[in-house]
Order: sequence, then structure tokens, then C-alpha cells
Amino acid sequence: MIPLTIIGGYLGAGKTTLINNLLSAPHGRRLAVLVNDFGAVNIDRDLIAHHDGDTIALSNGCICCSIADAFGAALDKVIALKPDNIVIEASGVADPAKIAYYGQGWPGVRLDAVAVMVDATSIRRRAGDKYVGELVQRQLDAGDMLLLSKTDLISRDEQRTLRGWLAARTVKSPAVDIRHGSAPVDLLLETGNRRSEAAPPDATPDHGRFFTSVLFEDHRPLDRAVFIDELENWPDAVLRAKGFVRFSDDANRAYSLQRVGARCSLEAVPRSDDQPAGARIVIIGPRDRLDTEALSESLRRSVAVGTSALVRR
Amino acid sequence: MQEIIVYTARAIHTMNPSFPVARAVAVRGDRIIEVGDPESLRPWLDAHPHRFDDRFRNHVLMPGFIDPHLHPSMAALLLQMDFITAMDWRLPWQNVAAVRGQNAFLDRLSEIESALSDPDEPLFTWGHHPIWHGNIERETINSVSRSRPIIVWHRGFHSLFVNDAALSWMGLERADIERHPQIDAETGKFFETGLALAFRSINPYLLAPERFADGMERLRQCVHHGGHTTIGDMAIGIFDFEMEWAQQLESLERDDTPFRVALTPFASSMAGGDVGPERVDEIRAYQARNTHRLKFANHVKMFADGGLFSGLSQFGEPGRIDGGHGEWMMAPEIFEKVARLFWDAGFQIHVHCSAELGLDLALDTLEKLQWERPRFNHRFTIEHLGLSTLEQVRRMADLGALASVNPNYIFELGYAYWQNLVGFERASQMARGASLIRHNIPTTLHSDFTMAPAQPLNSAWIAANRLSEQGSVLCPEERLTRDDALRAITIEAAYILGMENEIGSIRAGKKADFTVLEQDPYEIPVADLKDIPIWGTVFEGRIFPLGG
Ligand SMILES: [Zn+2]
Repeated sequence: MIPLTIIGGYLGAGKTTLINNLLSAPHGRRLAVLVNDFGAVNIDRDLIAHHDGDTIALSNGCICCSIADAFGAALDKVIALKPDNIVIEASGVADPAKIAYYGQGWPGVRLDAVAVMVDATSIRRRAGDKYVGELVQRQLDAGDMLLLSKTDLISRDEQRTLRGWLAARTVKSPAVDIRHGSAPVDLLLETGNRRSEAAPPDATPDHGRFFTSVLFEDHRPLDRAVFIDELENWPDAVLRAKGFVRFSDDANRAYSLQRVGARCSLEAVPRSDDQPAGARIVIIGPRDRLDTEALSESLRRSVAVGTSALVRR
Repeated sequence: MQEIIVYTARAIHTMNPSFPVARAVAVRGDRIIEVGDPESLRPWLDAHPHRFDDRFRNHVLMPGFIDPHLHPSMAALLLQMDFITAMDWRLPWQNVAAVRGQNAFLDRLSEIESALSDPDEPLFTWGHHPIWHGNIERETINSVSRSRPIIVWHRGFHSLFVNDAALSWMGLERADIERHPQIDAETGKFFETGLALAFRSINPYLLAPERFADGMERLRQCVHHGGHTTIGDMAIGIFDFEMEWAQQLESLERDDTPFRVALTPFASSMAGGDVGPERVDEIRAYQARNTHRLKFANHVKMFADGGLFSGLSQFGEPGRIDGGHGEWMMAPEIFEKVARLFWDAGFQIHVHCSAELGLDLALDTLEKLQWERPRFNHRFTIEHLGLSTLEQVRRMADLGALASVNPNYIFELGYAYWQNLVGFERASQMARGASLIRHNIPTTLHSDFTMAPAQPLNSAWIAANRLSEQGSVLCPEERLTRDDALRAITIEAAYILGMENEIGSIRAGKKADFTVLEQDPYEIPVADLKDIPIWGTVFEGRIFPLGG
């Protein structure tokens, strides 16, 4: 199943720029992009059209009934292109949670991440707006991660107030800064677990400034119960975690770990050459929030005691 | 020159208040020469060859009925389905008798099933309502047939139930539907976003050229049977603009079609995205396609909030009982921008507004546009007018907005909105009537077919009686008078389509469009309006009896 990433947020939050940056980043993955809305700036449409992504205009909600819903047909069209990932740019007035249902239920795709862009200069005003206030707040609630754009346009004081306001009202995820509409590819997209992809290749200065990652490798399998317990207690600063693990009670089988925001899956996968003998996990989060040392310690605690000899090659 | 034909009738209600009732109407070709009585017509008759035709001597003539807002393409889909409904439905090819109770529903379903000759042909039925029919679920439908795909679509369009054969017809595995959060695999119920997975298979099937053509032919018959001589397609392009245009051209632009269609395209698209000035040119260019019966004009359709039937309207304070929320069809900023584009280009803008906050957006926008660039006679139209406040009605009047009301909300949704969504006070005042007239707001009625039957007399009946499906009277203070209700399906509807100089009343110079009734709508009790039998219509001077 193709992983589906939803980019939500109100008009002007920088969704299209983010997607353009995704399309042009050298990640080597084939992306299909569904554009739900072209926002206020027509030029965005041209930018997207010049990349490989496919664009289809999608309608919000339904007028009288759902029979004319074009969403499914558009999804099928991009699924047929067999991309590595599908990215949906939600309309500025869409509730990303509703689009997420498609990711959870449409044949051939799987919900990967819901990233909600937040315009730092206008979010608080919009959240109190008569027409869109309630919608904007719902959009915030829907994000596995909130990406804060345009923070360079407001003062430090305003940034602090904004962060306080966001922290007080969002439960799922911390808001992270991004600049120039760009966030690490590995954060937004599930990029696979091959060894070459394990370490975030992304070292652009902006990303380095705002994001950090932990690479944990151990040749020993993990203790299933301890690991799952640790996993459940990871801080919300873990925006994404991915990798392979083996467990001491079933060391012949590798499991693929995918965690985005609070959503987590751990699935047994067929044997392949690039699977580690023990565990290999990458964790991405905001530089100012992710306690990499504590996470490494959490993973070390998960290593099954006294099993090293079993799987050493 | 063609001879004049003088039709005499028991009564002719002209809907021209300065000349309200007549006994004879003189027609030459497709035009009315004069209306009056045989004596008053003498000057014209003495000067020109003529003959009398008294075939309508026992009938009552009204101007040809007009429904300014329905959806031929949606109808063409729905009319391919077999109706099993809790209310009687008069369809041209069939009187659908009311079916109530679960057993009766299943009996009827079995009857339809066994009448089909091709064992693999999918069976679609529309009209199921749990209040009347109980639960009709996967296993229940399996008991009707295990091999034929059967799809049972809810009366309110919100959900559908299917049997196992239908699941495999849709190419869905049990696992596919089990993982979907808005499909219940056990009961075979598809709802909300789950519906999209069903329509993925259903739409291509029902929109296949020969079936769609068949559905459009049925729509053609329904429109005639409702007594219409003009309808408005108030959003051509719901599925695919060019496909729908081509089908209307083929199915409706025919010598034996007794009505015309006013076509209104989306200002931007179903997607409600941003557009630039080139869109204005594009829409203007549609007018070059106009044929005798199919006509574009400077009209566009826009959308504020989601529909009442889908429960996605934007409610004003104090919101909904269940705390639920609606959706915007267009971002408010884009709504304003697109509206400005067409306002400045001199278009008449029709805005779909379901509840108070949606209406506020439309009126705030209209006020801003009036401030920037005042226009007289702009005819900015509020379509549907589900929930509104009296202050909004007054503001509509202040700003010169018109009202195209869907009265069926009262009948079909009034009770549910009262009980579940907004309580009695607001629900009872849905789809206003009298207050609009009191504020001198030109007011028309529409069916939004397939949302309600395409029968203008039915719309007039609801607006004049305000009965809910459950039998309660909802806000008698908002009842339209008999005359206002009948004006709303004739001259006011013509006005809202910008065609009042051609149609909508019976007067010298207008098109000879008449609806021929078996009873006089001004004499029978208002409670019987919907039951007046329609004999047929006259369209541009040509006589079209029903079933003839
Ligand atoms: Zn409509």
C-alpha cells in the first residue's frame, strides 16, 4: 500500500511552497501530488504542474449528496501511477481529519502522516474569525505534526506567546518551525527502511537548525514488552520514528516500525537483505525539543538482556 | 402569416395582477397575441385570420410552470433506480405506491428482483428510510438475492447498504471494507467518506453513455409531467461539464421536448478554487452554444456552506444541539474574490446558502460589493435559504437580494432538524415564505430535484401549508398565501432566471407557454394544491398532453 501524506492548513500557510520543495528535493522518490485547492496564488498551480507530480482539483465536502465526490476517482488515478508516496494538498477549508479517512480506508493506500501548516503571522486572528475560526481550530487538532511557517516575520515575544497559545490548545503534537517552506523529506514522507535511507540524508542548514534526528543501531534483538512499553511513553516531540526491529521471542522475523505523531504501526515484514540483525531506528523531531539522549537511553533499555550471542553473525 | 388560434378555457390565471383572470387567449405561432375574453379579442381577430379551439373549455390555464433550480444530471442518475419509498411518488412511467414496514420493503425488493431477466444486472433502489422501513442490512439483502448485486440507497442520500454480491461487483474484498473507518462491514453500510468507495463503481455504471441517456430521457418525462415549460439547471457540470452538455443537447434539444433549460455554470468549479478573469470570458463564451431550448446567460452559481441534506451547513449562533460543525464549499476569501469578479462583470450571482452563517457570508460579501461598485437590478440570489434569521431577511431586502427557496426542507427535514439538530424554534422557520414577501423580496420556489420531486405544485403546496412529513405544521406564520405560492412557480421564477419578459405570466407578447390543469388552484382548498391533476402543457404554442 502506498503511503499517503496529507498537508493541511488554512490559505496562505505555505502548503504549496512546502509541496514544491518536496517535489524538487533530491530524495529520488516518485511522488504523486493531489492538489485540493490552488489557494489565492495562481502561480502555484504552474509551479506544481512543472514537476512530476500529478495535480487534480478536488472539491470540498458535498453540496447535496456525496454522489459527485471526485476524491476517490482522483485517488485511483494517482494510485495507478504507482508512485512511492502520495501527497495530498488539502484545500484551505478542508478538515484534514476527513481526508485522513481516505488514507485509512481507500484500497491501495495507507495513511502515513497529517502535517498541518500554521501561518505564524495570522493563526491566532484566524482562530477567532467568525467564519473560519472553528475550522482553523479543527485543522490544528487534526495534525500529527504542526509546521509553523513565517515565524521570521514576527518578534521573539510574539513567537513565545504563539507557542504558549498553541501548546495550551493542541494535544497531539508540538509545533515546529520551518523556514522557506521547507521541511525534511524524511519527516513528511515515509521513505522506507533500507540502510541507505536510515540516516536522514538531509543536511540543509534550515533543517539542521530546526530538526534533529537520532539513529539507533544495535545488533541485538529487543525485548518486546519493554520496547512496546517504552514506545508508548516516548515524548510527543517524536514527530516520526521508523526502522526495523527484531524481538528476542521471535528473532527470525523482522518488524517494520512506523510512527508518526501518536500513530504507530509495528508489522512483521518478509525477509530482505537490508534488515538489521537487531534493531535500526531513526527518530526525527524538533531540535529544541527532542531529547536525543533520553531516547537513546530508552532504546538501550529495550535491548533484550543476554540475547546478544543468539543473533551475532 | 400563421392564423391566430384562440383557446378558451374555464379560467385563465394570468399571474398578471393588473389583468388577473381571463377566459380566452389568442396565440399565433409561439407567441401570445392577447389575453381576455372572446369579445375583447375582437380587434385582433377581425384583422387577422383565426380560429377558435375549445379543447380546454373544462380546463384551467396557468402560465407554464418554472422550476428555477434543479439538477438534470443528478436526476438522470437517480431515475435509473427503482424507487421504494414511504410516500407515494408519481413518476410518468409508474405510480410508486407508498411502502411502509420492513417486510413490505423486502417484498417489494424481491418483486423487483425477480422481474429482472438478466441475473447479473445490478439492482439499485432508492428511498429506504429506517424510520419507515427498519434496518435493511447486508444479511437481510442477501436473503433477497445472494447472486444479484443489490444496492439500497438511503432516502436522504447519506448512506447505502449492499449485499455480498454487490461487494464483489464493486471489486471489494471483505478486508477492504473492514479497514475503512466509515464502512460497516458487518451491516454492509457505507456512509460519509465510505460512500466514495461505493460510488467509485456505481458512478461509471450509471454514467455509462446509454444508461445516462436513458436517465436523461426519464428526466425529460418527469419535467413534462410536473407541468414545467422551463427549468433551470442550477449547476451544470456536477459530474463533467462537456459530458452533461452533450447529453442535454442530444436528449433535450429535440423537437418533441416541451420545455427549455436555463443553464447556469459554476463560477469556478465544484472544487470551489480560485479563478481569474479568463473564467468570465469562458463562461460568456458558453452563450455561443445556445440552442432553441438550451440557454446560457450571464448567470453563475456559487456555494457558501455545505448542504442541509448532508448536514454540512454552517450554522449561526448558538450552533447545533450535537455541537457538530459544517463546511465551507469555498474559502471565504476566495468566495469574495470570485464573487467580485462576476459582480464587476455584470453577472447575476446565485449563491447556495444552507444555514445562517453561510447566509451571513453571502450577505457580507454582497454588502461589500455594493459598497465598492453599486449595482441596480443585480438580482443576487440566495438559493435554498435553509435556516435564516428575520434580521437576515431584512438585510436581504436592504441589499436587493432575491430568494429562491427550497420548501421541501420543511416537509422532509423539518422534523429531524427540530428533534436532532437545532430545536423547534429555528427548525420551524426553515425555508421562509411570508416574511420574504413582507419585505418585498422576489421569492421563488424550487425542488432542487433530486432533493425533492420535480413538481411545482408540490413545492407550492409545501410553502402554503408548511407541513412536515410527520404531520406537524411548522411555523404557519411563514406560510405563503395561495397567490404568492403560485406566483413563486411562475412569474417570480421567471424573474429570478432573468426571463420575465418572455415567460412566467400570460400576457400579450410573451411565449405561449401554459400549464393545463384539471382543477382551479384558486378554488380548491390550499391543502389540495399538490393533488391537482395536470392535463398537459402548451410549449411555445404547441400542445403536449401528458402521455400523449
Ligand atoms: Zn442544487
